[in-house]
Amino acid sequence: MDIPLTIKDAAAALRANEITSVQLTEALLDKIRALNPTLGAFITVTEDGARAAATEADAKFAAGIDVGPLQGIPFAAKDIIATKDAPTTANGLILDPAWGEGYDATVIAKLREAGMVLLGKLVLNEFAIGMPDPDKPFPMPQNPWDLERSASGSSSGTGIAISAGLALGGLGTDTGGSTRGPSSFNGHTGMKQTFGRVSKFGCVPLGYSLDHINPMARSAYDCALMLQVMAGHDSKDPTTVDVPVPDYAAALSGDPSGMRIGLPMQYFFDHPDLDPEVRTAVLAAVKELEAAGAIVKEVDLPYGGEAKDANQIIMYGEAFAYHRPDLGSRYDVYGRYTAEVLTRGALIGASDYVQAQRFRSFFKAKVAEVMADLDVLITPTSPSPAPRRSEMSPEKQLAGPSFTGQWNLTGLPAMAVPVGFSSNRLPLSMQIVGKPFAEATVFKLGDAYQRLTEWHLAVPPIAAAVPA
Amino acid sequence: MTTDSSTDAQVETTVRSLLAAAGMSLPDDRVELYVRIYPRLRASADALFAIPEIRYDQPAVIYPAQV
Repeated sequence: MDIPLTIKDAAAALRANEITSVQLTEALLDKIRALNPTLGAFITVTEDGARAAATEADAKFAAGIDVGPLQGIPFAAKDIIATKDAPTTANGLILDPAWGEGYDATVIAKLREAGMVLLGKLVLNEFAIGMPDPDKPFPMPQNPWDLERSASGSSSGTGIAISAGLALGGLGTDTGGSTRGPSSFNGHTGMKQTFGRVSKFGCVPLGYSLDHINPMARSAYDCALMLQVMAGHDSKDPTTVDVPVPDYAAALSGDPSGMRIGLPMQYFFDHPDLDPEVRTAVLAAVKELEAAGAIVKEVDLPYGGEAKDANQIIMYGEAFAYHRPDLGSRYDVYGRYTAEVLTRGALIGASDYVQAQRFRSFFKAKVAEVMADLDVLITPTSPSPAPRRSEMSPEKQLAGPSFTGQWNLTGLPAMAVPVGFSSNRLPLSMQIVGKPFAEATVFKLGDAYQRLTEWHLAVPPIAAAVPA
Repeated sequence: MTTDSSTDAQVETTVRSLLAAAGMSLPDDRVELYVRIYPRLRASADALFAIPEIRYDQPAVIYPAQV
């Protein structure tokens, strides 16, 4: 049996009686058993719960009940999101084991209600920050395209699981790029929607004003299907906004003609540390969209570097407020890189935090001004393809450029879309940034690109070698 | 304080003070990490005070009085 690559294809196969949800779930559980010891994607596999949910989905199909395209589709969640049938660890030994016990985060409840089948909980950088620590008792995430390379973070397990076909959809979180980075390095799609669009209830916080829970999947279409269910106001999360949720899939016409794309060259394309292969691939993707009818122009958006810094200052301050008691008393219980980065918050003053929030107001207005006659901005997602893990450090990350945190700072929707491979066969990615609550526009352009290309469907050799 | 005028010793003193004030008692090899990155972190925070356009901007925080 060939496992469908996408949620869209699996949904069609389920309705054509070519496959059952139980068969699909069992096939993925087999694949997880085969690959997880090498790839380190899952912390917990909820086999019994998955079988029960799949059986229920099949029973509904048999009874003529179809609650939507996610019914019977297996997914997995970053292990920082509460699930009633599995512990939540945040990939560390600090979090109270009772945290999140016995209830589902709002997004999990919504996806289950839509018929999705939870396969388990996924690896992350502890508390969604830092880097993996091999000295702690958690799986080490490996990039399926090259096991020596970083799977990025913090939603590393979700990125690996989607790339290697261990789940058809997944949940990541994103405070400065933690959904889009893994989507970029592992070669699939990941959407950070507008801040306030999706409830964060039931998720361990990192940066209160920057966090998002996001859909990750192979395609923009699949992310749209998941966001459709996840989106909406939630009285349990006061940051959610009560705005209408459009029919995302209905907007996916495949036609980008007339869509106005801005390229912020300063910082995002001109930074000296931007890998030339990334730059070339992203600009080639833009050319392809232009050839299909999109309208492209370069725009002047200053302060990209300052926006990255402001995002980090806010994140450090908010995260340190949450973690200070534990850092002060149990520093060594944290993974070394998590503790290292979290403690940067001790070096940030209150006025630094407020000034970063003032810059945030300014930069949000500046971006709105630049985007006034545009539909989207396009940038590279990551400055380089996945680096070797042995060459990475939190210090290097602090010093290097980042193209993702700017959109947590502004709260704008931003989606990572595969655009090819480097000369050493590592995925490359562009980022499509939309206006507030205009996820439909971002999905439309990403989906149009993915109808012209097949980068998002590429399967790493290690996963292709596993018999289905 | 600006990093331009700081000696290494001043940076270390500042970092140790900030960590202590935050209740962090760390071994020297850990403190050294923060001494190394502090000038960069301080400079990035200071740079936000040097942007003339935001002199009169309000911070992006919202406090609703109603519960």
